[in-house]
Amino acid sequence: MKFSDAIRRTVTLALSFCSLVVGHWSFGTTAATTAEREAEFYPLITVPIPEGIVLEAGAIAALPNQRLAVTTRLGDIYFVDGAFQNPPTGAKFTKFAAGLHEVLGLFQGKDGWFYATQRGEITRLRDTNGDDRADEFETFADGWGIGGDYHEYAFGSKPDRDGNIWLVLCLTGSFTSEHEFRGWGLRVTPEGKVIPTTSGIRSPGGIATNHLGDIFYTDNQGPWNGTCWLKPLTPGGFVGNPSGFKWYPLATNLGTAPKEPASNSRIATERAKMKEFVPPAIGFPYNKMGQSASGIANDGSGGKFGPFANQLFVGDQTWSTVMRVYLEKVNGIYQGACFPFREGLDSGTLSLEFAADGSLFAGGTDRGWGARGGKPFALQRLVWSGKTLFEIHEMRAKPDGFELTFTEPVDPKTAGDVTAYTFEHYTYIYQSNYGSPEVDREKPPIESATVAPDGRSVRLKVKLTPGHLHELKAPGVKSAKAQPLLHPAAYYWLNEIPAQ
Amino acid sequence: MSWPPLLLLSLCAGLSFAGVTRAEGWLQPAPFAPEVDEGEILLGELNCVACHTTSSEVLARLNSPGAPKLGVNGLRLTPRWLQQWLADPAAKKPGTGMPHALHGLNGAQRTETAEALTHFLVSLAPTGTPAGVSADPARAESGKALYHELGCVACHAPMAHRSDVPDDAFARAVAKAVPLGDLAAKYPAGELVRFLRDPLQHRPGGRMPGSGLSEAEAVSLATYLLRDQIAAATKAKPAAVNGLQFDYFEGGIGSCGDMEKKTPSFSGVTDGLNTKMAKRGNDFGLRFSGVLEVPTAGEYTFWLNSDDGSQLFLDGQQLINLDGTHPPTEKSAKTTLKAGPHSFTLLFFQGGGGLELDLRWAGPEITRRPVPSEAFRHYAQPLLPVGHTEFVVDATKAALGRQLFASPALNCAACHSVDNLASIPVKPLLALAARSSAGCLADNVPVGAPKFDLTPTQRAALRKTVAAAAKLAQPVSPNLRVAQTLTRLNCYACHSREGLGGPFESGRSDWFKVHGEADLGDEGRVPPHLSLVGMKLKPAWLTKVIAEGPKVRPYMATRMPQFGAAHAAKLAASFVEADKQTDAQPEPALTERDAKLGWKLVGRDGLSCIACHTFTTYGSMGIPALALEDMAGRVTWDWFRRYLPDPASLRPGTRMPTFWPEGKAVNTAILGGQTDPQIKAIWAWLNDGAKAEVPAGLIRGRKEIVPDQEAVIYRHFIEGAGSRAIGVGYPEHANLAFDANELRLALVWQGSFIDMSRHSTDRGTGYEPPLGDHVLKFPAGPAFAALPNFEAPWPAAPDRLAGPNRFLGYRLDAKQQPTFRYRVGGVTIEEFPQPKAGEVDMTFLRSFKLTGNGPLWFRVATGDLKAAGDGTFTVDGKFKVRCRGAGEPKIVGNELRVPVNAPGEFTVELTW
Repeated sequence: MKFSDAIRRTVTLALSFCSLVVGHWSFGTTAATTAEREAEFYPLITVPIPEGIVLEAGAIAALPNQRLAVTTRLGDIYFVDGAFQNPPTGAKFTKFAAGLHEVLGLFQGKDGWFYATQRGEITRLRDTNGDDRADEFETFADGWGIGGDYHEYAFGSKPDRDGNIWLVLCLTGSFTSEHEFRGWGLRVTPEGKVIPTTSGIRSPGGIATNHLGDIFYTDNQGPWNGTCWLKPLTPGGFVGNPSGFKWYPLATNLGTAPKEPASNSRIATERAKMKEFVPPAIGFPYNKMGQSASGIANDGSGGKFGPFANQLFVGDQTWSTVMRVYLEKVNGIYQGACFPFREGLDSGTLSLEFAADGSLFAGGTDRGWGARGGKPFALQRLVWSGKTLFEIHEMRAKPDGFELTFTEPVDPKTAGDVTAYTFEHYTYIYQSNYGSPEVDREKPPIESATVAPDGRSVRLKVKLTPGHLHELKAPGVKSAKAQPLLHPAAYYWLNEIPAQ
Repeated sequence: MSWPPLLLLSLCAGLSFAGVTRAEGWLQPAPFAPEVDEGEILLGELNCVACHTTSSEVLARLNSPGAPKLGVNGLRLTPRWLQQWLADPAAKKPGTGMPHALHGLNGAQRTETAEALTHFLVSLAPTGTPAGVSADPARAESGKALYHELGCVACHAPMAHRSDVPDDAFARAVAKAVPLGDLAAKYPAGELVRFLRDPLQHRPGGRMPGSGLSEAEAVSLATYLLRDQIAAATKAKPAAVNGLQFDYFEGGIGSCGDMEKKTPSFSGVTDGLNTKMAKRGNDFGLRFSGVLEVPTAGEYTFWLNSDDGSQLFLDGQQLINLDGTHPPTEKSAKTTLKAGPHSFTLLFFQGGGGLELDLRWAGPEITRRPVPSEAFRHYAQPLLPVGHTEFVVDATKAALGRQLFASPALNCAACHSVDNLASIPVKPLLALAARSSAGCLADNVPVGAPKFDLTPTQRAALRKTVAAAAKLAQPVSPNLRVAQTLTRLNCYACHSREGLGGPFESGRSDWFKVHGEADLGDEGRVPPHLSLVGMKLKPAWLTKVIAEGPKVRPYMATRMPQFGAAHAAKLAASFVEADKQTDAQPEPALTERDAKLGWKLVGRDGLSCIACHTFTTYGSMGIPALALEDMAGRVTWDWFRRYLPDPASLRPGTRMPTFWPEGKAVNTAILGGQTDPQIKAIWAWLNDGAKAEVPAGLIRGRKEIVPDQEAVIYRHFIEGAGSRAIGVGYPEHANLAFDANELRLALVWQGSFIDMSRHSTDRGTGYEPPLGDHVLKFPAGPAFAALPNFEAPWPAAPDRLAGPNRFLGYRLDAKQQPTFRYRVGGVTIEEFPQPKAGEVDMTFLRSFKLTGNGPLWFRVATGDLKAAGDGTFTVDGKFKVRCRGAGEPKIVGNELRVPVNAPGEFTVELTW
């Protein structure tokens, strides 16, 4: 064990204090819940699903003319028209294709074909006779293995800036890679050539590009994942789980497998030993932000969805939520913060897709993995009400702490008061065992909080620790209009400390 | 609460579990809570009050564990080991709680005394011999797995260094372990089996609890622990040992008699009648042979049930003949048997399909039940203790030993009550206060006082406690009593309570494993914390858990040990008292309406608790979380009502989400979204236990896909057609499955198409077979191949990722009928199957169109081929094929091949 007993004990102690303080809990409070407060800014519109359709929405593609294409885990693809009305009571579902194998990726290419990622292949399909039913199905890429294991999912991205589709392939079960390239990220070129690209994947829940065209996927808590992460995919990179190393001999473009990382270590420690190791960009702390990170969508609406243009939105299946992510690059490495954004979705959030009007569609399922929402499946739409909301906008690492920017000017008195914040940082055991508790916790003091003259940002001077999740809460910070933050929590995963 | 159990633990481990190396300095000045001193713990653990009598208040507070039982209730340890142990216990186990009683004697006297005591103790031992254990390295291997996963390693040292455990964690776990001592010299194997199955019977102290081992598990574990005896067993005389011998046969087995003509593929030893050793699902045979140990003379009935055939022989006579290929069939026979061993042979063979084998018996004092594995023996070389010699009790020495045992000088009878020998009273405990540095606590223990293997620090602690012994009459607080017991029983090895203890603190967490793929993280492998457990669990259940260790977490490899009723009652009461909440809420009054609403909430249309939790015989739809029917019998309402709104607050890291975030219900449709009544309703439903109404969503019927007006595609895992199967159901009630991995038609069948329930409920794992009838399965391998000559062996499917052969997709016509497209070498093939229902038979007309260029061979059919004229062939008497437009057919072995050329076209009619 690399961490001391004392720290482990502190963690356990802290946890069990929680368990002792049970009196705080109460029923039937009348104060608005978080979901109710969120609804004022981001109302949730539920698209009614006709009887007989099991819309476990694996992927959503927004098409021109306010049409959606929605894939299902049972292998159907539906066109949905009328989903943009409010209320969308007249939404019409047309079955475009059926009988496919758990479709978890979809877009319509510039060539007019739909590209659907099934478990076994990326299929391109189209309708050639104008009846809104696909009649041509072409195998576009199938250069990986699958067996009969439920866990061997394949998530496919929309095309990146070079027209590549990226695929992340779940391991066989939680712990092993039994078929070719399970536990890998693959790139599929516009010609359909499959290029093994990134090793180290465990159990993805979604994949998408950010506004710069870099590709990210979510990976779930489990072996080698102390919590759920957002990880970048880069050619030749390794993102944490070595179970798929046996396929390096098939990845002739990448050379030999790296030496396996040591278990019971820390990400920062192993990263230093392995040049291929690309650390996670965002940590979603388990049981704080959610329990299973899923679909990803970049807000490219340029402000139509509120003040978060070019940020990523990420689902959590168990918690039936949508989270928000701010990314930055420090020393060439992605890192950044996640924030709560919207809870109270009807089913377990799986797929996310921004439509051209700047609204965000969310598809859900709870089959096989329970979800707070409670509905077996759902299709919902989040729109911005247009009301100004007070949130931490960005959280940036600085050499001596963090810079927070806000969506509204802050009240300099509260925002400049270090007692308006709480701060701690911790990390996870990097291990072959499933998950991890929070370990190596420290609570360094915030030495100062300096509000910028324009009231739009605050500099916090505080100790930073690479390889740790920095948990900041700002319950005392008020806007210039005396409003509290809608979500006072932010979790910054730090790989690098910037030089300036 | 600042009780430091870990330090206390190591303290006690060193002492009474015997023997952590002293040099490690495990006993350090300890920051004990002010109301307790470490000496008190030692006083209790060393059983000082066995000699130094004291008041019932002090006895209650010290709660001494008592000494191991000797005589008829004891264990038959090897006399050689026993004598060495008596001559100097600490030399065998440094730090043991057994004092050195003979330290004042010189070498010859000491040997003589130890020898006499040994003869005395052996003379008291129970008569008879337990079954031997065969020297079977395979059993040792399964014992090794048990040892390392069921919880032994929580206290004892891991012995196999797994590659995923870091060196430092392994070294630390070995160093801080309760030593096992020299088991191979100490135990006859059968005796260790007896001990492992019920340790408390011999050592009521409870530091070695039971693990709920079956006889077979105990034998495996004992074989592993005594593996140093295996080498010596080659010299042992064969004896009756546990289990049966088996011979395993493969291939060409159509009856029990077929085995007699064959040589076994391999042989071995098995616990009882099972087919675990079979390497395949059909066409194999097993011959079990050995001895059936009949407990009581009388008339016995045997019932043999098998699928396929079996035969039972007793004492060389056939008792039941159930030979032949058949579904599960039962036959019985009666016979009168003498008590003792009877030669036993059972033959069993499996042709194909279902597989069953079950032998039951009934007889004097035995109601009809499976013949237990304990009743089977076979003759083999048994494990024998290392250094084994025959030992005969010498009556004179035994008599001397008896005298010595009860003598004032040794006073063994004070701790070990045997043969009605009386303890010799010595100075009462409270009277020792004035001379706490004398006697057993002197720096140099005088002759006549027992010499404990104490460090100076331990001795100092004891002296301090003894000097102020009067205060031991005060009762301790319930929470402290809990901590004391958790330390003594080493519960802290597996559980934490209030931040102390648990596998993470002890550094042994690597040995806590999950069975299968429970996806539960630490919650699935590490036993639950015990903070507030006295409030969480109902007292009766809590008592049962401690006493019997019932299993409620099927995914957890580590077992809750069994500490027996006496410990359980005390500890459970202390928990309940310690964890009492001032704001406790009594059980609410529940109505039938509540239970009905609870049923709604638990099911698919409510909160879908069944997505994770199992219910009676219904698996959950995902992870196998704790069974719903047991909940209300286990947990209290007071805990439940606090847990549901915020599970992570009571169980940090849990996968259980809340459905009432911030106290508000996410489901507003039931009970108006009121939190309190919803939780009460679920509780009401849970209170109906296993009799509760089955939640909606758990009873899953068949979900048949019915092709109506047009064909239906089903791409999924289809049994017989691979992981990239494309099933097609046609309205004509003809169906096929195309294997896109191997590029071949894999299956055709008639009637119902497919049941999608496997894939559309839960997580959807595994292969689904065709639903209909008249299923034809075609052999693996590609449909088309380029061959150097027509007789060349048909190739296996080429590497998908490397070669040019690949599946290209399909086009659907107006009736949604697919035309498959695939490439083999330089040829692109389009295959259009079209069903035609005849009056009796079904036909698929398969039209092939080849483009590109090159000759290929097409394998039309494989099987017993018979030309039926007109170019038609009958295959296996089951179906007919006719190929038109291709070249001259060739029969190669059992294959019908035709040459085809691209560009070109041909058809195949498949009729069945």
